Amino acid sequence: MKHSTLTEETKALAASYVLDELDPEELVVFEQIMQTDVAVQQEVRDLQMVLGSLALDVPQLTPPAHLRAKTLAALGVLDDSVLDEIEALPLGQPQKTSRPKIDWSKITALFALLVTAVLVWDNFRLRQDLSLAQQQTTPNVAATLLQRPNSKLVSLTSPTASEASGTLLFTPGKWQKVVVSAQNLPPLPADQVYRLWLNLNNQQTIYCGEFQTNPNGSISRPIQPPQVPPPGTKATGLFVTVAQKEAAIAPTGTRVLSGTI
Amino acid sequence: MKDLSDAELVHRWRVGEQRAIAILYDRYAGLVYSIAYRVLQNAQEAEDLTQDIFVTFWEKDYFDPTRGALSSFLGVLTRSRAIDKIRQRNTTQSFLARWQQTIAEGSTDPSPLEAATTRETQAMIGQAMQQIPALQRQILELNYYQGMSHSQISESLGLTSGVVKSRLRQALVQLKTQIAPGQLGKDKDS
Repeated sequence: MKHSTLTEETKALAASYVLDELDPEELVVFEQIMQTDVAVQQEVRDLQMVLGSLALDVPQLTPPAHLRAKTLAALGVLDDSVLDEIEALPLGQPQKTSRPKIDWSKITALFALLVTAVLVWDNFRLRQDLSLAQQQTTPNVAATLLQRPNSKLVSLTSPTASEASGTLLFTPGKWQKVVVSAQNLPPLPADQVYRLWLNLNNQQTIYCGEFQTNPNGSISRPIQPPQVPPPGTKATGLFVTVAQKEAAIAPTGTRVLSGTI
Repeated sequence: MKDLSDAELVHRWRVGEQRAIAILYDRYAGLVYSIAYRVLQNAQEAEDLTQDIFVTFWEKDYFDPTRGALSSFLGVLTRSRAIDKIRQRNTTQSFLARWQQTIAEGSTDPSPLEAATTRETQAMIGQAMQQIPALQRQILELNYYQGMSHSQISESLGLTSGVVKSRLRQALVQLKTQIAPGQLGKDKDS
């Protein structure tokens, strides 16, 4: 790659390039020059930085107060007060929930008894599934999730028929804390991570977090997904990819585990 | 967490700390809103665009915090989106492609201008804008902040389109020259 001294004409072309004002033929020629000349690349980069900085030269205004909550909600980010509550939640304790006042009429009592029986059975089944599926777990968080009657345990299997497998424990509607467990995954070098993704029924895929395994290829830990599914959408599946730690967050890496919800 | 750098906040947000994006919002919503309002001249549209920028920032994940300042990235992204709205065309993809090609992929260490704080950059660029000839500054402002085309500017100022085009180019080159030496990337000839 060469490093020429820039002519005024080249500088003018670089400025036009940055301003997006070259016609298609000029653009092709200029980009070819740019690819082979370090000095031209540097000129373009400097001009872009100047042009970018121009955006900051505006009188500063304060956005309307309600916009914060609106934007964070659009991002699926929980309100500060909810985040405070989650962070303060003692993971080893069952989540405190307000119980509806019991109606002692005979019909309601019978209904409550039936529901309780179903929930107890469901809870028991989930505990059984979890203990079978996980060699080790993060018991406190898992226990907290299991206190919730509608918690789900999703099996993750390898699409390449390797021995890797796993589970994801979560509560529908409470996506802010899940427990991922897996075994027989290849341990990754330090610059790579496993990334967990959630498929939604609107074809959207959202990022849930990343993890690494122990040297034996096992993992079991809680994850706090940064984004919750938008209202009105439904989770349909999960998958785990391998990615470079510094790579952009995109669901494009090799899939090593997947599961259907 | 409020004292963390932009790069650290971006990293924390990517690994699942929701509060990081809230702090980034608190840090840059004013800037994004101000640019959106400057271009669009409409409070509701500026509000909508501010939300749109943060959602895009989250979903598209174009920004590499090790290359370039987040303030500049959000600033140019906001300006491009706002101009798109005015011109009813899509230049944002072009901007993002070029950003990645020249700023992200082609860069080495961040230049002082990239590494400067938002306030420092604003001061530098504000001073430099005052140093360039008034006509160049006016044409640059009409094009950059109001999204006016060459023909619109030439009609507005009574100049030929060719003059507008050359003055616009000169304005950008002059602006670069006015910014203190060493604030941009190192010139390998020197």
